[in-house]
Amino acid sequence: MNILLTGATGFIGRRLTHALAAKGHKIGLLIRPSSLARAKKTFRDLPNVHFIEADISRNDVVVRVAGTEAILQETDAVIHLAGTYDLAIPLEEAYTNNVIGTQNMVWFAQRLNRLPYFHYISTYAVNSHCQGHVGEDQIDATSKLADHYAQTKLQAESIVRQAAWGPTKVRIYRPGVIVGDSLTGAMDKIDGPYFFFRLFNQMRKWKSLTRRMPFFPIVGRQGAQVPLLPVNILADWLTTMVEKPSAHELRSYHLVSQENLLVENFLRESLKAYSVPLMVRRMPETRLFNPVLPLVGIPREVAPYLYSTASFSREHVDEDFPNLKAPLFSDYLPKLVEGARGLFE
Amino acid sequence: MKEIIKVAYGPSSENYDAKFSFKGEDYRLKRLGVDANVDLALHLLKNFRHECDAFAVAGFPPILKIGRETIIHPVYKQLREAAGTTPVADGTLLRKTSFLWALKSLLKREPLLLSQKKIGFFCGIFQADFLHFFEEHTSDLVFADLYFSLGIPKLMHSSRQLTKAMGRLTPALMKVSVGKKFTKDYDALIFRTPLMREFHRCDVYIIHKTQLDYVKLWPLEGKTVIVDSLDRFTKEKLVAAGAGRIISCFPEFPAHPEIGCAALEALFLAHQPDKVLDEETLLQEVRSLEAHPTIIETETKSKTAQFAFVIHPLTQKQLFLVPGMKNFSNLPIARGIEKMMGKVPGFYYCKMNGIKSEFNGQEVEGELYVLPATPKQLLRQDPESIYRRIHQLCLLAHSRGTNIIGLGAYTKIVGDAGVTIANRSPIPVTTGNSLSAAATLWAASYGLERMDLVKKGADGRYQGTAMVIGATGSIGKVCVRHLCHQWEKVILVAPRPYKVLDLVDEMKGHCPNTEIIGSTHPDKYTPDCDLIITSTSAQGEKVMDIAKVKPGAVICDVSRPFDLGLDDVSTRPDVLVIASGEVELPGQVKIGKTLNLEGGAVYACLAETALLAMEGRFENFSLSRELDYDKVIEIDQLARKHGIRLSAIMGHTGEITDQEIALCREHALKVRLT
Repeated sequence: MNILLTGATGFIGRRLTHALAAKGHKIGLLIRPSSLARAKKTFRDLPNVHFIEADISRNDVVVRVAGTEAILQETDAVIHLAGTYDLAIPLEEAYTNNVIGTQNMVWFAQRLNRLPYFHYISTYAVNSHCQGHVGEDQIDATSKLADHYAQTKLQAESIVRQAAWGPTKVRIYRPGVIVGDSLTGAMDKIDGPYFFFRLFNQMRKWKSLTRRMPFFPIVGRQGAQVPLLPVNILADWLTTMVEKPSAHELRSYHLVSQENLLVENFLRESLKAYSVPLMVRRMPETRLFNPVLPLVGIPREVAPYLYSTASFSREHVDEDFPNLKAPLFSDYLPKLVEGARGLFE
Repeated sequence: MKEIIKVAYGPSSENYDAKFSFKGEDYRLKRLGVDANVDLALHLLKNFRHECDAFAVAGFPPILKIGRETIIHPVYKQLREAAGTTPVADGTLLRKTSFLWALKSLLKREPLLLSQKKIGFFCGIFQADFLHFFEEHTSDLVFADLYFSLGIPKLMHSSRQLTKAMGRLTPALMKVSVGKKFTKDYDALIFRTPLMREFHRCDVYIIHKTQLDYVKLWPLEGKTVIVDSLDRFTKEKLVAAGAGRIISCFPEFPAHPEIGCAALEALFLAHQPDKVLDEETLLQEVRSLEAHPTIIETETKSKTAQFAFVIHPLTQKQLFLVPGMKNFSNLPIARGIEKMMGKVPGFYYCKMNGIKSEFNGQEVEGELYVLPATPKQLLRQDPESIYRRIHQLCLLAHSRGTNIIGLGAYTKIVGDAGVTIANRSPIPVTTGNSLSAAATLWAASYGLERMDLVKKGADGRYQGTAMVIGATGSIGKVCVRHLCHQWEKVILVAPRPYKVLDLVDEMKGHCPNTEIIGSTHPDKYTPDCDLIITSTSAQGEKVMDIAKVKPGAVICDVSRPFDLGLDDVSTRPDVLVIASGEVELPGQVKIGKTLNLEGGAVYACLAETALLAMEGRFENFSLSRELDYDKVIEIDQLARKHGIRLSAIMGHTGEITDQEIALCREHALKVRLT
C-alpha cells in the first residue's frame, strides 16, 4: 500500500512508521522542512520510506513537489497523525496545528487522485467532559472543553466529519492516554500519568513524610477512568486497522484498552510499583483540592480528567477488529516505571 | 489559484474549504472560525497575511453610523492593522448595496410581507442604514439592542429612539470586550424579564447571522426570519429553532450557497486588479451573478395550540374549597360571601397540559380561568355585568396567547348564551355544547347497550320509548333529533308548552315514522320510558319522580347541578343513572388543580374547546341556545378522529363499572318479574 503519513517524527509517528515499514508498505512522510534532517536520520534504516517536504499549517501543505508526484498520485491511504499534544498549549498554537492543519490536510486529501482512505487520529479527549457511556460516534461540536488541546482536536474532528469526501472512505481513531512502550518502557516526555509517576518517584525518597502520611488522597470523582494505552500497541493496532478495508463511508473507533482502568486502581498499582507503602483513600468530591495539584507537580489541566467518569465504548473496534486486545496495565507497569526513570533525572 | 481566508467570529467547528471559479479564475475560500476569540483572530490575520489575496472578516463589529456620527470599534481597527497590506472585506458594503434591493424585489412579489407586522430587531443598530425602509412599511418596530448588547431589559420602538440611545451609549459599548459580552447566555434572563415579552410577540424578526450563535432562538418559532445572508449552518440553526419562514436578503452565489456576505465581498475584492472596491463596481458584480434573494418555507413544527376555558364553582360548597376560604364556610355569613364573590372579577386559575391528539400529534395546552360565582349568582345577576367579567377574561386569555376560549357550566347559560361575549371577545368563543350533546348520546347508547333490555327492530330502531326532559334546551333539542331517528316513540318534556309543541311539529317533519309526544311534565310518561335524558337548568329542583320510572330504564342526567338527587338515585337500584357528559382527552393530561372530576375525565365542553384547538379550527363553533345538529355530528366525528373518548361512564357517586351495570340489570329483571 502507498501511504502518506503526517506527524511521523512524533512519539506515535516514529513507531507507526516503523510498524508500517515492517509490513512492507511504501510510505511517504510529510515532514516539515525544519525537521527533515532529523527525520532522515531517524528513518535511515527503513526501506520504502520517502520524504516529502510539507507543512500542514500552509495552505497547500506540500512545499516541494518535485520527485514526489508519483507517490502523491498513487496514494492508497492518508494517515493524518500530526497535531500538537500538550495540555497546557496556548490556543494560537493549538489552533494553527490542530484545526488549520487538519483543515489543510482535508483539502489536500480531497485534491489527491481518487484517494481510497483518509485516516484521522483524533483523541478520546473530545468527549472527556461526558459522563457515563460514550459511544464511538458521539460528538458535540458545540461543547466547551477544559483545555485548548481537547477543544481544538474536537473542532478538527468535526471538520473531518463534515467535509465532502466523495469516494474517499474516512476512519477516525480516538486513542486513549498514550503511555510508553509496553516492552521497553521508552517514553519521550513527562505527561499525563507520568506526572503521578514523578510524584511517586519523589515520595520514595521522602521516607520520613510517607511514614507519617495516613494514606494517599485521591481527588476527583468516583468511577473516573484513565484509558491508558501503550504507544507500541497503538502503533500495532493502527497498522492492522489501516490494512483492513472498510465497509463504512465514515467509521470511528475508540482505541482504548478492553480493561476499564479506574483512577484508584491506577494509583494503587503505581504506588506499589514505586514501593511507596501507602493506602489509597478517596477524598470527598470537591474542586477545592485542584489548586493543590500544581504544588505536587501535577499541572492544573490534568484535574478535569480526574472528574470524567466517561467510559469509552469499544463496540466498533470489537465488531470490526475482534482480535485487538491490549495487555493488562499491571503487566506492563514495571516496564513503564523502568522507562520513566530516565525522564526524572 | 487565489486564496481567500475568511476569519469568522463564529464557531470553528463550522470551518470549511471551498473551491470555486469566478470569472475564469480559481479561488479557494478557507473559513477559520475563532469561537468569539478576538486575539486568535488577530493572530490568524497576522500569520496568514502573506499567504492569501484577501481576507474576509465576518461577525466582528462593523463601522456603524449612528445619527451623524461614524463609530469605529477598536476591534475593527485592530483587525485592519493585523492584516497589513492585504485587503480586508467585512461585507458591509455588499450588504448596504444588496440588502434593500433584495428586500424590495421580494416585496414586489409579496406586497404584504411587512405591512402591519410587528418587526423585531435583535440588534437594530447593525441595520441602521435600512431602518427607514422598514419604517415606511410598518410603524410597529421593536428593537432589543439594549438587551442584547448591554443586558438592559428595555425595548425601543423607533429608529430615532434607537439612534439616540445607542449614540449616548457608544462610549460604553466601545469598552465592552467583544469576545465575552456576546457569549453570555441570555436565555434565563429573557424568561425572567416580563419587560421583554413584547419582543417575543413579533411577527417578523431581523437577525444578524453572527448573533444566531449567541442568542437563544426560541422566540423565532413559527415566525418569519429575515437574515442578511444564509449559509448552510445558518439555515440549519434557523430550521432547528423552528422558524416558519426564512428570508435571505442576499444575492445567493448560485454555485456555492455557503458563501456569506463578507466572503463574497472579499471575492469581488480579490478579483479587482487594484484591490479596491466601490459601490458602483459591486453593484455590477452582483448583477452579473444574476443572483436572487431566497425565501425558504420551512415545515413548521406543530406549535402547541393554546385554549382557555372559564369555569366557576357549581355549589356554595365548592366556593369554600379555595384555600383560605375554608374557615368561612361554617359561619352564618356564608350566603353573604357567596353573594360577594358573585361580583368578584374572574382570574387565572391553573394550566392544563399534556393533551395530544392521536390523529396528528398536535399538542394542546389549556388555561383555566375562574369566575368565582355560583350558578345561583350567575342566573340572578344582570347578564351585562357577567358579560363584562367574562369579556375581561377573554382579554386576559388573549394577552396570555390563547387562541380560543370555552365557556364552562353556567357561564354559557347566562344571557344570550355566548353570542354577546363572542361579539366582544378578541378570540373565538365556544360554549362546548356540541360535544356535550355528543357525549351525552355516547353515554346513553353505552348504558343501553350494557343493560341490553331494549330490543332493536328490523329497521335498526329501538322498540321502546325515550324521553327528553328539557327538550327545548340546546342540548335537549339535539338529543331529541338524534333519538327521533333511533327510537319508535319519543316523548319531549319542557316547561313551556308553546316551545314543546313547536318542537314536536318540527320533529315530525324530520321523522314522520316516529311517534312523538310533547308534554310539560314527565311523570305521566315515565313508567313507559326505557331511556330518559334530562337536560334542564332546574338548579336542583325536582323535575321528575324517580319512583315511577320503569325498572331497567337508563337515565342520563346531563344537568348540572343534577336533576336527580343522590337520595333519589339510591332508592332505585334497578335503574341505571348516568351522569354523562364527561369525556377523556387523549394524551397524558395534567391539570394544575382539581376540577372535582374523577380520574382523567373533563367536562365535555372543555374537551370541545381543546378539540377545536387540536384541529386548528379557531372559530365560534357552538354559540347561543340553538345547537346545530350538523355541528354535533361534525364534532362527534372530530372527537373520534382526535381520540376523545367517553371516559368510564359516571354515576352520581362516581364511576359506574360494568359489574354495577350487570347488577342493576339483575335487579331490574327481578322487579319486572314480580
